[in-house]
Amino acid sequence: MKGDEGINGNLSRVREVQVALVAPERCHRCLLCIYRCPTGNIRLVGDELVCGEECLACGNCVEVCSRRALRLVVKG
Amino acid sequence: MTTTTVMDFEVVVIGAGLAGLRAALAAAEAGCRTGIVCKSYLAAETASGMAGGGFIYPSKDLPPEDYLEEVVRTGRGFNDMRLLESLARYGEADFHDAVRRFGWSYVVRDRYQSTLTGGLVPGYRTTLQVARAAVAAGAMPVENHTVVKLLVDDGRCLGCVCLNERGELCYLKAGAVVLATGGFAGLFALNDNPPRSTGDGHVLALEAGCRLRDMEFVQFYPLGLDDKRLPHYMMGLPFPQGTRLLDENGEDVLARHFPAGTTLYEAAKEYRDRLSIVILKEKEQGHRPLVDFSQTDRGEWDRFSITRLLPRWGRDPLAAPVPVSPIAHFTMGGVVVGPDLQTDVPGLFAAGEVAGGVHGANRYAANALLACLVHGRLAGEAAARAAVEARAGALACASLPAREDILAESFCAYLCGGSPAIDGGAEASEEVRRLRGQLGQLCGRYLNPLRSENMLRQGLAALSQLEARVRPMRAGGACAREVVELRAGVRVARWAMQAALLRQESRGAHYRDDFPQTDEITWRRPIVVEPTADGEGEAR
Repeated sequence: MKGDEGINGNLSRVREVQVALVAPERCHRCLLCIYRCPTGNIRLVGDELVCGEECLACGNCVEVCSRRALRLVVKG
Repeated sequence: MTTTTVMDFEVVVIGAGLAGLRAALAAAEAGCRTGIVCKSYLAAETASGMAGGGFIYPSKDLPPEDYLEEVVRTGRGFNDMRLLESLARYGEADFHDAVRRFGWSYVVRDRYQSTLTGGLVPGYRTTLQVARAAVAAGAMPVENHTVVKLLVDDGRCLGCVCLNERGELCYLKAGAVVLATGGFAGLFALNDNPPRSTGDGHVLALEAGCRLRDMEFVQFYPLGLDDKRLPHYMMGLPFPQGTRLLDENGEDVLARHFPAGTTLYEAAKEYRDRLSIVILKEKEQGHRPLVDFSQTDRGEWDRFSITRLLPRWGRDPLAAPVPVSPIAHFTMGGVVVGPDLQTDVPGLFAAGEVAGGVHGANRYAANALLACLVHGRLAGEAAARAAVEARAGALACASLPAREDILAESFCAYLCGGSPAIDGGAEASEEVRRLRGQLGQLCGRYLNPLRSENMLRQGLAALSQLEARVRPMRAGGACAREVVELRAGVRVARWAMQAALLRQESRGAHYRDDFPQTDEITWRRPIVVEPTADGEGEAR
């Protein structure tokens, strides 16, 4: 199809996404993402933010992070 | 000038929640080359992705007349019956068809509510199943593209223009378009929606020449958790017996406003909207309404969402009462559509929360997802028919290539003041974030359930000031999409305030403290936002 090369990588797959801490150096442990998640999916394990299996990909945590440290990424 | 990408489809669906995906599936199965364009990933950042999965439809246990009567009673007579007829007629069959093809599992509650199951909240996985079906049928995802304008030529919708993640333009040509962009509850400071439910589609539709209706009807739930350490969650029914609403002194709030002995459960069930007003009036007087679980039976906690979730959020239900405020949940207002989900503009259809007139002045519980399923399918099928007719009619699409350059330039100027690939930078992005926060506060303050002429006029004035700062912003680079959402949001908020100011009565979800009665003589008509010559739209 005209013009569609490279628009979106693999166009024919449905990608499940979840939240990930993409910029751990920017995270300042304000914990707002943990508080804001409707399923309590984000936890602090030691010094690390860990995202579990109940992500709804709603984007609330991404929105609340003032450091833009979180993003929805393709799983796996 | 930057080169832009062009994609050629027969049907383009904008929005990848349940309604959009169901529409895309229908269009693809009708044999149309179908694209699904969404500003996130398929099924991600959608309301259906967050939904608890409840469906109510007529069946052997619920006669259609009873279903319609309940829906219209809740909608205070403002429902468009033609849109409800399709829900009543196809609801049961479409639900069971969905269960079969998408592999949904469900339980039946109270004899006629079917609720999807799976995980803590079934929404994202169940919506993703629909995405898989749509793509398997041939629909093509165009993810992470934010639509900024619908293309209308010679009075017909012929596709749309969108921005990718780098702020570059992309044209999606189409014989017909389905808008399934969701609602605008995400604009409010306290809401339980995806943050990016900002009414983008409402603005796209109006700019293309469509009317909107019922913009003043915003559904709030009274018991929204309003605590910095808790999610923005709507404490819905059921909850444990013995749950109380107290103020900061431990006094019973309900006793001040409702007949003696009214429990919080009864108030939330029978007087839901009045309860929102009560909570706001208490706050106006300096009180802090709090939900208290100290008199509930701990042995029952596992049966109720709120007491199951609080520990998951790190809170013992007995530790302290939880502050509550009305929380924005759903927006009834949207694009005016006919029974086949056709908008005012030929070739443009709308389904799901973006379509107005389904729910009237207030939405009947569990009807939203049903509307996504049934109206999504009908809109996709109608769009497919329209696209086939358009193809047969050898329409103005042929003239589009010549206009692309002109369109591209005007969009560049409109959005970016120059090359669209300018990086907005960290400062621009901080400014956008701040203004978005201000918009949220504005909507929360002036569009909450307790409305009056004074408040609404103040709101419109405050909104004008905000708009003046938003208007010159250029959508460059990485924050292009945030700017687009912000610009959409201020307009949608303005239309909602205008309509709320006009409607001098109380009805359904719209309450005016200065006009607390329903006025069936003057106001038994929807307020419509009409496109105007300056493109701004006005509520009438």
